[in-house]
Amino acid sequence: MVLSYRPVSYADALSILTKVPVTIIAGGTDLMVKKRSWSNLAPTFDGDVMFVGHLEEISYIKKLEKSNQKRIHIGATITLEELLYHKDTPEILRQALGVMASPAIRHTATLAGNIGNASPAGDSLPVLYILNAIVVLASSSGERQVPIEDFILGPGKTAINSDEMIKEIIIDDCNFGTVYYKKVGGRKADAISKVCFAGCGSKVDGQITDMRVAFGAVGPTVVRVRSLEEACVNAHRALQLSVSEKPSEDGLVEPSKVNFDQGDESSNSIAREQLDSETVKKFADYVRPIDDQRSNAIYRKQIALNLLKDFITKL
Amino acid sequence: MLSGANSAANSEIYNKIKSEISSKVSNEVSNEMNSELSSKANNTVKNSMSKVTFVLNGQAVESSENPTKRLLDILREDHGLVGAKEGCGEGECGGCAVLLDYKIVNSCLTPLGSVQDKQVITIEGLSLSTEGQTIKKAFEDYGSVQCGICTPGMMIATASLLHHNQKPTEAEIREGLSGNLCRCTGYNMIVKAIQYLADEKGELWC
Ligand SMILES: Cc1cc2nc3c(=O)[nH]c(=O)nc-3n(C[C@H](O)[C@H](O)[C@H](O)COP(=O)(O)OP(=O)(O)OC[C@H]3O[C@@H](n4cnc5c(N)ncnc54)[C@H](O)[C@@H]3O)c2cc1C
Ligand code: FES
Ligand code: FES
Repeated sequence: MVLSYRPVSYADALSILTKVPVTIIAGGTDLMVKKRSWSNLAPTFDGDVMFVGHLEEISYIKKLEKSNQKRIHIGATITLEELLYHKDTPEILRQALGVMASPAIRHTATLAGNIGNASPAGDSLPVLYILNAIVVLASSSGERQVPIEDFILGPGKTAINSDEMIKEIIIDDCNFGTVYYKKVGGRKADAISKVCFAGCGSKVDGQITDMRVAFGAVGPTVVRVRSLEEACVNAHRALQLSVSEKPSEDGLVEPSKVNFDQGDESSNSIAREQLDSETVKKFADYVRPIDDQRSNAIYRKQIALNLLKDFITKL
Repeated sequence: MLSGANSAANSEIYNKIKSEISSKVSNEVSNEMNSELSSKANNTVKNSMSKVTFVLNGQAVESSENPTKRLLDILREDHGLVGAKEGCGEGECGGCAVLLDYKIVNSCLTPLGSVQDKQVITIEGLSLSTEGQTIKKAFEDYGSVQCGICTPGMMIATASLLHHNQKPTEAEIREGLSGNLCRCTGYNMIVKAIQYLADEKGELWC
């Protein structure tokens, strides 16, 4: 017998989870398509379900500071539309939300659902990887925090246990100088991505200090390669050191000297171009898309790398 | 006598089709999910949420249907409200759009259980209001309707948009309509009607 549960509170939801295995329905915008049946017949859920979309206790967006780091906590039942128009939503996430689905879907769909669905083409996911998202899983015996890259294991696969639910998602609250989000899809609204790309970066006195990129729909999970990001930042620093002739006494570069636009402009820009091409080449090894009904591997890879190139040049 | 026999035969055929459909769906499900217990038959039996109550076009209603059923089916089959149409059945066309707490949603993706305690307004309900009448008139005046199949959804999208944004830019209007497909008008006439509604009938949406 298939039962539908509607917990009266968040605590009640956790206690239902300890007693019975259920499929959690938030907005239902993924599940109702997946479990679609014939008109006027119930969808094909193969076990009990629990509605959570109405739970007020986990409908919040909060900015909190812990050991000098500002982070944003997004409750699991916040809808994509609420998040899109909230004042504390980081610009990079706002850009991704703005191209997700349609207003009608965003009014009920949730960020937790986008994560729980674990689609390689989930449009919020590259942004969540960049913002070092932590998924907070709750059960009646407590909570645990799992980084997004450990939570999503593969298409449709996550590290959640049957007695757990997503309570909130915690993301970095950073101010990036450059924010870049692009989605390539067949239609402006309601399209599942062929490729999506998120990039963020910052410069201090002309020097790249932070660079983060993530690709969606080019592999079973989102691709973010921290070692390459670091290598890219270091390579830019090295390049700048080589063009600025006067390092200060402590070996650090004087900020005023660090500027690509000064000095021998053309050779600098050639060096920079070379460096950027090398960076793109290195990332290419990690971008391994497949052919499917929406696109093919060759197109996906080319577009993904073009977007990376475009982002780096804008940094 | 004849008609009696006919309807008996009809209902027999109907039941046969229904059970064929059920077993077909069940097979697909068990193949796909590899689950030992197929759900189709079970799904329609009692639920722990025994009744769903909500406000439909201003009136409190109650449903004892399976809470996972689509709101679209509840509206069309149980309440005879056929203004919301099933176009794609998967969230892409907006033909099934209704207002849920005055925000547009696709009723084909909305399980009945998630409208508990909420307000649902369909095109039939909207049309009775001054807002609905005003939108209808503007759509007529601006040639926003050709075949008309998208029109209920477009009017719902218009009400949702203007309710939350009284002075939308053209881009915001197009964004507001982005989940609704129209194969006839090319959208421009719908956008113009909404621009007019925002410019001239602003007081209605506050
Ligand atoms: C027409 C259409 C267009 C779409 N366009 C896009 C798009 O552009 N980009 C995109 O990324 N997606 C898109 N989607 C997919 C979908 O809308 C999103 O993935 C959405 O974020 C899902 O959220 P939901 O709340 O509706 O999830 P649901 O369908 O309710 O759930 C999805 C999964 O997450 C799990 N889940 C939900 N909440 C919790 C929780 N609190 N704890 C544990 N598990 C949970 C569910 O059990 C389920 O496995 C589209 C879907 C449709 C139908
Ligand atoms: S039928 Fe619901 S969006 Fe197409
Ligand atoms: S008027 Fe025909 S689809 Fe819009």
